[in-house]
Amino acid sequence: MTLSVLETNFESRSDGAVPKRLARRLADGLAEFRTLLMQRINDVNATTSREVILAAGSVAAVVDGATAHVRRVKEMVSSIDGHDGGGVAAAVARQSEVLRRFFESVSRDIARQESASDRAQQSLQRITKAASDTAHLASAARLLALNARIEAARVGGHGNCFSTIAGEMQHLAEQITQANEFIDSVAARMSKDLPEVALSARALRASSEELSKDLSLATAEVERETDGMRDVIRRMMEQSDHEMSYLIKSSHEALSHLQFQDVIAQGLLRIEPPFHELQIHQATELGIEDVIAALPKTQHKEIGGDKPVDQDNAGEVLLF
Amino acid sequence: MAKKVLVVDDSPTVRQQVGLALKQAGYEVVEATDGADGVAKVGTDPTIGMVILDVNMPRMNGLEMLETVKAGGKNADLPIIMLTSEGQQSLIERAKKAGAKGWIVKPFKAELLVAAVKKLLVA
Repeated sequence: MTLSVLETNFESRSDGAVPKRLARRLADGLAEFRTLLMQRINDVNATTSREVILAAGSVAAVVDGATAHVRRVKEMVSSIDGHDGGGVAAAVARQSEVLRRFFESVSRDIARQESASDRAQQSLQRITKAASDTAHLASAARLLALNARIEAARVGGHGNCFSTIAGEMQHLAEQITQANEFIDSVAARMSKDLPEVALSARALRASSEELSKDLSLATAEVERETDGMRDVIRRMMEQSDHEMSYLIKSSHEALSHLQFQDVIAQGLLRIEPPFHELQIHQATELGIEDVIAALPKTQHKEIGGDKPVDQDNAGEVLLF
Repeated sequence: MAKKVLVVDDSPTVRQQVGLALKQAGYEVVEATDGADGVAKVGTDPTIGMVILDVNMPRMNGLEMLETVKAGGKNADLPIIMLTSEGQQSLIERAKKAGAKGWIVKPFKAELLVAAVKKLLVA
């Protein structure tokens, strides 16, 4: 850049040169302007940088919040429907199955009890018959005792032995009768109780089988509901993952767009090197080259030199 | 364990934007503010698995850091992607020759950057 304006304004001097004092004032003014300009640029860059960092932080917080929320939902879902078998639904199904097996076992035990009651009733019938038979034996023993007494009376003093036999037979008949009466009373009680036991056992077995059946139905229902719930959860999780992907994609886009700050910051900082060159040129033109060494170095330096933003290739990814 | 990526850039906004994109993709991120800082971090942290490296930085620029790290031998296989506003073919060739694995032109697309990192870290 040339300083034609300055040259034009100072052509009035006979030798065409700018007075040194004025030249230095011009150089100082330019230096001051450069300092002020860079200060303003740095202020703008610091402010926009801070705001962009806050904005990006907010975007990240939204994504982090959503990620944490989805993670909590997944943990909750996993506790309800744990694929590792630890979920609530699986536990309910397992408990239903345990109860169903328990009632099946109870039904089997009751069936065995029923069968035992039937056998006991049959045994009781046999006992009653045996008691009836022994009652005949008692009658026979009493008859024998009577005969023995008659015989003893007939033979007189020589019939003592018949008298003893008659007494024993009579005693035996009484004992048999007593035993029969006891058996009859027990049999009567058992005849009354055993059918009731058998009846209760049958009723209990029926209830138990009904309950077992209900539990099977309940287990099947729980499994159906669990399957349905798994399907809903799977769809919900798919939707959630899809939305999270979209959120992260949007976040990436926001981060991409927020790079405008860096582009602007770089662009503003690129003002300094040409300004520095302008100062050197000015000092040279005005004949005050000694000020060049004192000029502050540029803050910003790019390997590729001053250039506009590469809009055409921006975002291009080359992998070697 | 999450793979660790070192982001070297003098711009705090770029470091943050690259860092957030990578963190959302599941990577651990550490930062360095220029090439010299980057060389020091690579030298002291053997868990760094990749470097995203700016070119224009004060003290030591990205190409100098690339050449220093690769010349060290210990980290010769460390994948490095250059992330820069520079697009000159001569600079790209210099980076490629020095051992860079990629070159991304700023302003970058976060999605493509993450995809490139994933690709190189899987390979």
